[in-house]
Amino acid sequence: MEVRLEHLTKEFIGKKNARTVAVNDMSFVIPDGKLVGLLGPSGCGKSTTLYMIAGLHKPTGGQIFFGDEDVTNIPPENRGIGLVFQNYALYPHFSVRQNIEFPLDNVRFSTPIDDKKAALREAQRNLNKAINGPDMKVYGPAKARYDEARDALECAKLTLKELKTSNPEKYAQINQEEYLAPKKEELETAKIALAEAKKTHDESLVVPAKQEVAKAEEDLAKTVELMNEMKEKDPEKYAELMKKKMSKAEKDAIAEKMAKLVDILPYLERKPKELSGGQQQRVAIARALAKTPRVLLLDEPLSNLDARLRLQTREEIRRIQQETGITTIFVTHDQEEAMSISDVIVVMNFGVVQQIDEPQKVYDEPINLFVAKFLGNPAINTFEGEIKDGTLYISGHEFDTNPAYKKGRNRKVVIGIRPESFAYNDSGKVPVEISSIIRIGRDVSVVGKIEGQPESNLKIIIPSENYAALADKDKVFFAAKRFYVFEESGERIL
Amino acid sequence: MESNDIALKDNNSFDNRLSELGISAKKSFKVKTSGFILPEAAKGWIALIPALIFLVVFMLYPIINTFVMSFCNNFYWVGNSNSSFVLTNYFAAQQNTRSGVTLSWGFDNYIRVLQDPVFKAALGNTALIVVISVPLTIIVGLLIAVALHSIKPLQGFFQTVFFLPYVTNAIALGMVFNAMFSSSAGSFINTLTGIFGMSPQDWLGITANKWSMFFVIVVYSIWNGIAFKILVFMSGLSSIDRQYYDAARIDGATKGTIFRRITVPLLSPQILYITITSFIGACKSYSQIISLFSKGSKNFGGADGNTWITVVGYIVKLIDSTGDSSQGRGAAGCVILLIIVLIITAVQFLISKKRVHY
Ligand SMILES: Nc1ncnc2c1ncn2[C@@H]1O[C@H](COP(=O)(O)OP(=O)(O)OP(=O)(O)O)[C@@H](O)[C@H]1O
Ligand SMILES: [Mg+2]
Repeated sequence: MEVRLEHLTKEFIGKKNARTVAVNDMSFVIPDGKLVGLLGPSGCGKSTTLYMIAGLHKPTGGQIFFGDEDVTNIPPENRGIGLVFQNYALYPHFSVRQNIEFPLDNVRFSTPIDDKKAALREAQRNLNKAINGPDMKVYGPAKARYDEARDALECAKLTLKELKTSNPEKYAQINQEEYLAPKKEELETAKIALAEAKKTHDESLVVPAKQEVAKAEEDLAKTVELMNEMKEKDPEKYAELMKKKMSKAEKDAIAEKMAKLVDILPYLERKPKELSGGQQQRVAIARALAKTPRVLLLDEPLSNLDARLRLQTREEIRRIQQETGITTIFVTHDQEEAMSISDVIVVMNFGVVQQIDEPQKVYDEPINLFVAKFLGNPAINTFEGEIKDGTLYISGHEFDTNPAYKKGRNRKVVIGIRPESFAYNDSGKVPVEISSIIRIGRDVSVVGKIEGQPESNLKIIIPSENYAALADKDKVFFAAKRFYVFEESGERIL
Repeated sequence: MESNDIALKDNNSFDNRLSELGISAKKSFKVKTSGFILPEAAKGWIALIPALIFLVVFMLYPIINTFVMSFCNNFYWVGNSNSSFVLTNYFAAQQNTRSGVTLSWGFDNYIRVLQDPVFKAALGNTALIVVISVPLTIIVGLLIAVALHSIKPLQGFFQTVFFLPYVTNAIALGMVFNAMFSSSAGSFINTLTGIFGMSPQDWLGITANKWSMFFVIVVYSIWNGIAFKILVFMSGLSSIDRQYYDAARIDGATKGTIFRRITVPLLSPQILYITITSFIGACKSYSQIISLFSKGSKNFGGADGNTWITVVGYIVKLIDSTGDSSQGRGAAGCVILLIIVLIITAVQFLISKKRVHY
């Protein structure tokens, strides 16, 4: 199921009319069957977005579509979604099995007779609408003409009456019959036209609506008859068709299938509090999946887990998502988590979408300084730079030339270089004063400072074969294999 | 930096020299204690003394007293007065040769109480009040609490309204009910029912029907007891995590299902507490009956003043009269009531073990 958000906005109005725009004009499409990571710092509106998709929050603006269906005003129970809450919200008094089966307990099938009854009700509603609510296209102009004619006649009568008291002389001169005749005539014609319009209206709308009702009635009668016949001849099929709730056996089968999928089969009879955090989380996923949702929503499902379990569970979520092929939205503020399991990442800040792209693209081609800073660990290094006459300078040294710098005036800019984008190179253009060098496994981590730059916590990660060359040096030149240039406002230049 | 290092080194050498002398460089901690230390348990007991004194004087002694009284077949004759301080009387009686009557012990009081038709009626009345008013109050209280909890505007106002009976004196409330349900044609309730075309009725007076009195008793009991229950349920409701409700909505549960399968089980500790306390409270029904009829402390409605006598009412009547070992019988009534309440409470606890989710 494709999920489409169009100009989605949520404004909370708090005490004393304090307004918080939690989500601001958000539009994006989640393709069918994909796992999307909703990434952003705490408080940027991720949960709010998710709850709006779930239907728990009502948007103050915009629309939500599941496929072609506009679900904006559909209550959560009818949206066909599964939601895993930030802290799971497993029902504490139910066993794991009961938790997973709860959504199934609430499933109500409609029988063929129910369907036909609903169709009949709908037809009757349409008939009522046809009778009571005149269709303005057919009826409106004629009605307007009639109303106008009637008003004109009344007006004329009133004018005469007034004249009688205010100016009896003039009144006496007027031939009343003659004065009113055209108006009366117009009223008569309008009346006939109106009657005709009503007749056409009735014929075009009421008659077919009546026919629809008759047909629906007939359908219902036929269905009842058919079901009665079936009751005699094929009671099993009848029972299956007339069933309103899921049977215990069916529910158990689904619960067990889900439990197997998330690997909690041995714990079905336990209460949630007798499970570890990771197991609880998997129960929550099983519950969300039980009624095969069209869309699965996960709100920071890993935030309560320890580092190892987090790694393991996120792989599991990925596996389950791929096995089931359900469109999934995964909320997190952990960039690594988002990068590792999403097909597409949506980066948000202050309720506004910053960038939507594949994980690697978001990392390699950040659209602005915020995205560049938010993704990557250790974070991207930023320096003050300056564009002067089409050349980029860093601390007064010439750093780069590019036609892109020729545009616009001379100005201060921000240069971003990821720690792993440095290369040790004596002819490089980044002079670094080293304050510490640590060798960690296959990497060397250098911490230092560029002369004349406020940032004293510059981080560089290079392969460890460079260690010997760097070990006893204070100042070294590095080349930047890849770098980004941003306006001071955060906009990307290069 | 350097000077610091030197200081450190110096210190180290001091340490070394000290340890050479067999002196530990580190100060060990010792907590000074006075010579006499009270054991923890003793402190606890001392703190409990005031409460214990009250408990012994006003609970334990009267209970023992009641037991002794209930087994004394001829209590009245031995006593010097009808003071209920029976133990002192008892010892006085042992020395009182003048009375010439010896104490006799046994189950006489119990047998007489259990055979007394008035006691049987009182037991039946009490049971009826318990069985009808307790579940009704709990259900109504629960529904009101859930409704109050789910509305935002005017919540405070309605909370105050339902809390009013709690701060109102039970006797005053009874008198108000008495006036409202009075037989006169202009009384509040009769005016109200008159609107619906019913003729004025005597609800509580001498000519009143037993069941119209019962109706008023039940309404009064609900109104009198509901405030506290709503309060407890509301506090229970606000401690239920909102997310369970969100989750249940996502899981497609209807309002009824949510109430039945989420709210009630999660509120079960409060429901159990309220059930047990209101059961016990209803078993002790007395003041609401006499205040409703407002004809003194021993009138329970009807021509004979006994129509809605309760077990406690029966006991009060006996203890408050003299002669024929009536106080002994009253005491026996007390013990019987105690046993009944204990049994019911125990049964409730046993049932709830399976159903309450803490
Ligand atoms: N019910 C509410 N009333 C008023 N403001 C709210 C409400 N819920 C959320 N907000 C505000 O909306 C903004 C977004 O909140 P939201 O819960 O969506 O953040 P989030 O991205 O999920 O953060 P986190 O990662 O911490 O969970 C926050 O500034 C928050 O204070
Ligand atoms: Mg959140």
